[in-house]
Amino acid sequence: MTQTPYEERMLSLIAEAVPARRRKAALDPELSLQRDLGLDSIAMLALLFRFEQAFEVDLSSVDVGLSIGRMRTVADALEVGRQVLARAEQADGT
Amino acid sequence: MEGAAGKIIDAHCHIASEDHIPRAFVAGGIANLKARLDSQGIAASRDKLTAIYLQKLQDPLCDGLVDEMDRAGIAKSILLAADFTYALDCPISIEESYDKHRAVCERHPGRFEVFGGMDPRWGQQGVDLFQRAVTDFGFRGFKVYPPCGFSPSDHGLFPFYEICAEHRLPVVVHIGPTSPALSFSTGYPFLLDEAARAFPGVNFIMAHGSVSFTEECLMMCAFRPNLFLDVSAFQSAPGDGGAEALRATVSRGINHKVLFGTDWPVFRLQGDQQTFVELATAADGPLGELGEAERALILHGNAERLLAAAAGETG
Repeated sequence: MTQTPYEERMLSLIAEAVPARRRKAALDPELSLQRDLGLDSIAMLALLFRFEQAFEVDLSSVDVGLSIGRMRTVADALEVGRQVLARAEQADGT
Repeated sequence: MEGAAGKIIDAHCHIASEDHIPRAFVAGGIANLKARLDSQGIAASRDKLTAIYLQKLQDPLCDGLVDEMDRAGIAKSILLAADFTYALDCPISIEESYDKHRAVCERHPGRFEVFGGMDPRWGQQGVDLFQRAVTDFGFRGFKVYPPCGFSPSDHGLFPFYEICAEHRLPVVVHIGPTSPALSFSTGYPFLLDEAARAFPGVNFIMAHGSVSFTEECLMMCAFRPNLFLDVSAFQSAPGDGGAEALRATVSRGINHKVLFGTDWPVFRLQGDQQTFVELATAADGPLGELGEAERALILHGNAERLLAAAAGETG
């Protein structure tokens, strides 16, 4: 499956956040961030901050709690990231 | 979660407002969070982390909490009015805090019970206010916060426990560490034993017993009839959102002593009430693996029993 540049970058951020003992050869979209990949809440927050730096968006305007709550799987994380970027683009355009 | 949805009682919540969770308390938690993020090379400023956290403390009337309760199938939550006013710089007095808790109960009839807190160093004035809260305001329990600098068996608390004995009110006692703005040395569960022994007619609930001094809490629950624990803060256990911590707690044969709780809003950055209920009750989750009767005790039955005694509904 071909990945978009966004997906490639985001999956790389997720892979970096996974503890060594839980590393996978591939990050399937349905993998649970907590149960399968061992990301606890602080790791999720760290992931969001890495996302902020990598994509140059400002998390201050994001409901971080809601975002973390929605990030249950790898696919969810990709979707939350997309939504944050779309909101940031909208904000820039106004 | 057959049969439990819509009946769940969250035995450990707070009003999400800096009025009741003061800035000094939050600052301690942020310092810990920043230390961990710093170690991972993430440059998140203290101000930014504080702003993000404070986003989640803007629900002074509990409208947001009620929405989350509805989505999660939580019928009722117990609001604990911890008294930080002696130990920390607080924007309002404990009396004003009580008033605001009463206002929340009036705004959302039937959805909340309040356990009033009091630092014993307020002396007779504190005893009088707590007595009034019980007889006039309808508060249904007492909240003790030892990290403010006293033992849960401090004799200054005994007048409060006498009120609790008279009215059959449960007492929630914080166990374990907390915001680094406060002391950790008074969070040890065995400090409660003297009081639990002196007041056998008072039911004491050790808060956070599934993550702090778990072995000690489980042992005390097993051997002291008037000791219970709540599982709130299970979300702070590392790795899997707290599922393993919950599983370990509910597999020790004392589920008639275990109360479900979330510590809302402390873990709002990690998810909402629905997330936490689902984690606990999923078919392959820690409570999903129990029989229906035991699951019902943890999710609501044990809290109902304690609250019913406080309301004089049992003999």
